[in-house]
Amino acid sequence: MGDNNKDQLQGTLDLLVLRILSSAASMHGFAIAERIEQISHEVLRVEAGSLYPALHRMTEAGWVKSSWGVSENNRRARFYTITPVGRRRLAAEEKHWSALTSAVGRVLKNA
Amino acid sequence: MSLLSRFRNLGHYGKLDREFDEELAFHVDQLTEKYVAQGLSREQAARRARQHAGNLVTAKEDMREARIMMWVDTLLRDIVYGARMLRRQPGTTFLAVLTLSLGIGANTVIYSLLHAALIRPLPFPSSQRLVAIVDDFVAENRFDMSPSIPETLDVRAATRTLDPVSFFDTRDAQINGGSEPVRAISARIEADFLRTLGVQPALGRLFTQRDHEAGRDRVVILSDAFWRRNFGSDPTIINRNIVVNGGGYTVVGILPPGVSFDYFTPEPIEIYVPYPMTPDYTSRTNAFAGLRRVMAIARLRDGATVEQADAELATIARRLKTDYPNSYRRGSDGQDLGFSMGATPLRQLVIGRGARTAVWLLFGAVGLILLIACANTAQFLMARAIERQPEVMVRAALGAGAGRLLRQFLTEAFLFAALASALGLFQASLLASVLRAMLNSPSGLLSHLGLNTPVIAFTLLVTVFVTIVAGVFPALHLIRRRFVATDPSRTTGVTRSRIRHVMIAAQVATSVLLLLSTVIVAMGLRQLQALPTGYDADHVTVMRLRSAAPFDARGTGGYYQKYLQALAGVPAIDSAAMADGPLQDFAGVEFSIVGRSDDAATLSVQRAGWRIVSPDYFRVLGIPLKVGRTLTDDDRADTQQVIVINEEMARRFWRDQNPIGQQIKSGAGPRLRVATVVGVVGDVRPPHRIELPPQIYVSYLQHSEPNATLLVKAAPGQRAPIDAIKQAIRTVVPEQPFYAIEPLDEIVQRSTNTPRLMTRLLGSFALLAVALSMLGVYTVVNYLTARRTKEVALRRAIGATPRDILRLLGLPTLRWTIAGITIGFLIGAWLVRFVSTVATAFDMPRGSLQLDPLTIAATTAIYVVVVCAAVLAPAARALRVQPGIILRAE
Repeated sequence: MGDNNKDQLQGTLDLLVLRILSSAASMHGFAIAERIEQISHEVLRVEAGSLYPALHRMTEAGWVKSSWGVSENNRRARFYTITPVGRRRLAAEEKHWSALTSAVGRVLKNA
Repeated sequence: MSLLSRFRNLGHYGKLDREFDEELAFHVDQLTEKYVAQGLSREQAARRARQHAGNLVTAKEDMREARIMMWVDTLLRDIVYGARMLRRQPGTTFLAVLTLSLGIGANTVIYSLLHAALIRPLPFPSSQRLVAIVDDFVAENRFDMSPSIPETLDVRAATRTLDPVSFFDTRDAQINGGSEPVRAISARIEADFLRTLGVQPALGRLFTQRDHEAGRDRVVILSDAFWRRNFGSDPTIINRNIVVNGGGYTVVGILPPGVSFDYFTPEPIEIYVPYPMTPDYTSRTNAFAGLRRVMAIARLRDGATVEQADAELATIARRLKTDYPNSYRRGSDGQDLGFSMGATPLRQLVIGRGARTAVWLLFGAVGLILLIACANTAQFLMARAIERQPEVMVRAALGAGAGRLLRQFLTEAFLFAALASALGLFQASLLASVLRAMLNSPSGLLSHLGLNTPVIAFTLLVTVFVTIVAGVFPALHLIRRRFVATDPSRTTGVTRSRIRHVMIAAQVATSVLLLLSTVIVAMGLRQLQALPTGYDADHVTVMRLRSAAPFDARGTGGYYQKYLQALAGVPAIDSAAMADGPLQDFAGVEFSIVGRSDDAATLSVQRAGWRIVSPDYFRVLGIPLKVGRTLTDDDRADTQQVIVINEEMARRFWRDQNPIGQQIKSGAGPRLRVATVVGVVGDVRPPHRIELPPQIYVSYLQHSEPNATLLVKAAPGQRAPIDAIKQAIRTVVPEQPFYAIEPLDEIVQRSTNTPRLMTRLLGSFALLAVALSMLGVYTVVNYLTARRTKEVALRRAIGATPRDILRLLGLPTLRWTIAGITIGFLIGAWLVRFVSTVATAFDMPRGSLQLDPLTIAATTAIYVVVVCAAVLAPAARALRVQPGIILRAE
């Protein structure tokens, strides 16, 4: 659904989710949120109100796919897996992100 | 998101919602567990989890946006909203939809006429590559004439763009050998005719050039329908003999079902025989050389275009003109006839030039009506939009973009147009059957007049057109002023009413134009019908028959004489006559005047109408004798050849001399005849024609013709005793069949069918246009008046008279309307020339078609009266309200 680059925050969330999923077989939404918090040392907190719309948007865009399964505590849960399209997207987003951060870093250092 | 999955999502709306709820519940539960593990109480953990999960409702909304085709959703909302708007004032809405539907219905039905008559391809393979070879005589304003056979053969020898080239003509035939004797339309065809059309035989074979050889030419091909009807689909019919017009013919082929070339005959052609390719027909000097009775058709060679063929034929025509100069000069004064040849796509020729112009004229007329109706719809939607101005401003303030608002308006306009189109299609289906009945056309083409896929596609296109034209106007208008936070009920709306008034002027101009066109065509028709005919068709009944005389017999006259003698004893008959046709149609026969070689006029070939008649023909039709004598039964084959001519012929060729005793020469070789003028009779104007052709009448005892017409005039106050007539004639030939029995005045009447139908259709369209534009005027004045009620009340309170008020409310609109009328007349004056050419195509008097001051004055007067009513009615209503009531209501 469209290009999300114009919305930097949304784009960032997409990047994080794709990155997490790229290093796991499949995860449900809660686990994704937890993992982002954990890795970022609780700096980045992902709210369900942003996470699930993002996951659905990415599902519709074909970057991830989902299926219902059973969680570690035996509950029905929806599991997300990254698709090849999603991996390509991730590569692009990562490149974009590093270009952006290095640009910001240059400005901060040299201004 | 693929469109497909959007639609799937739409279908799974409920399921997806439930799944999302479940997913969120899982998330919240997991979060709660996490907080419990961190040491919170279960209640605290649950509350915190819910807070942390964020605004679930917003999330759900966002997801819905993500999943559902947003535009479908908005569209549905727009439609529901639009429907609510339309329902708000059902009466007004219905009236507005109804008027638009009349415009759309008229367009649909006329487009279906246009499509059936001019666009739908003929049912032959690659039929767009079929052309007709035509002669034009520019100086005589005759176009798309049939070429003569020698011309066609010259073209065939020379052409590089056409192959094959062929020709045919049609005649009545009587066939024996089937289940019973029948009459059918037969075509005499050149061998390549069916191949040119691209037809393959279902059984047997088509003709070859060898079938034109003497002794081999007694072969016949039957249509599928004829074969089924009369020979019970018997396949062994091939190589059997049947009797056609008294001669034995061998059946060599059966055509496939549905193959029919019925565009130029009143009934489908059922049997095909080889054309008699004898010198009589094929040489340039023999008897029938100049007859334009065949129609020449050809197929474009691969790679050749109609334009190339047309150019090539013009070149060939120039050569023919040099080779045979006398054939292409007018007889009376030797003037160049402006002869040329050309190729016309067969599809175009199937509908004559006049009818073609007429169809386009009608299409133009309904197009104008559609514009008027669009203007009305736009006015209506604009009025609705302005009522909604506060609402639009609120929505704009809440962030609805201009695109969003435009879409809302377009959706409403579309809803409106779609309703009107549905209603219009319904009307069109009714109108189409009425029109089919009115047209009563022999051509199979018009049987396709009705609602079919291309026609419905056209209506859809019209719907879209109306949506855009009628929807964009009010939308743009309103969006432009959406941030102007004024109270709409207080604006005097100067700019707004200017747009409205310009539209009014345009509508009025358009309807005046239509009204004028109708008046012009109707006047032409009336003048034409008022022309003296020169004969009396009253009480005359006409029936066609084909002589039962043996095929090659020299004298059909002997039989006809016996028929007439048998009829003499029948009561209730005033007089009866035989002829080779009811009335004359066009100058066909070529002749030269004997003994006047000093005169340019006599050097070249002359042309005149030719009618073989029995003596009482003049009595039956009441044609007066002017000089000399008429024909008698003593003018026989063995006596001097005599002719009777009409006054026009005497005027043209013997202006200052006594025509009696003069001689003319026609034909050549063994058929050369010299005949002496014995009498001059009054002119007969062929049905529905302006010019009077010179006319020759010859004796039925001196000329043989198997295709005959019996004309019977009933005694005063009596009806023609058809059965007694048949019985009397069957005492002479027991099996004699009759067909096409009808009163002569019906035949004459039928010849004015097209112009009468045109007048009627244009008339109803003009009335519709006037009604629609008046409705437009009324709506606008009504609206503007309603918006100024307070102002009017105030003015009256401070002493304005009713006259002042009427002037205030009505004058601007009246001014614009009169501007519209003026513009309409100005365009009309220019258009009159165009309508005149249309009228000429129907043989209407051209010179008489002009806008005389009386017509202008009458049309204007009627129009102004109607406009005044439309303007003053709402204004007067405003006056009836007590000013105090309104002012106190403030």
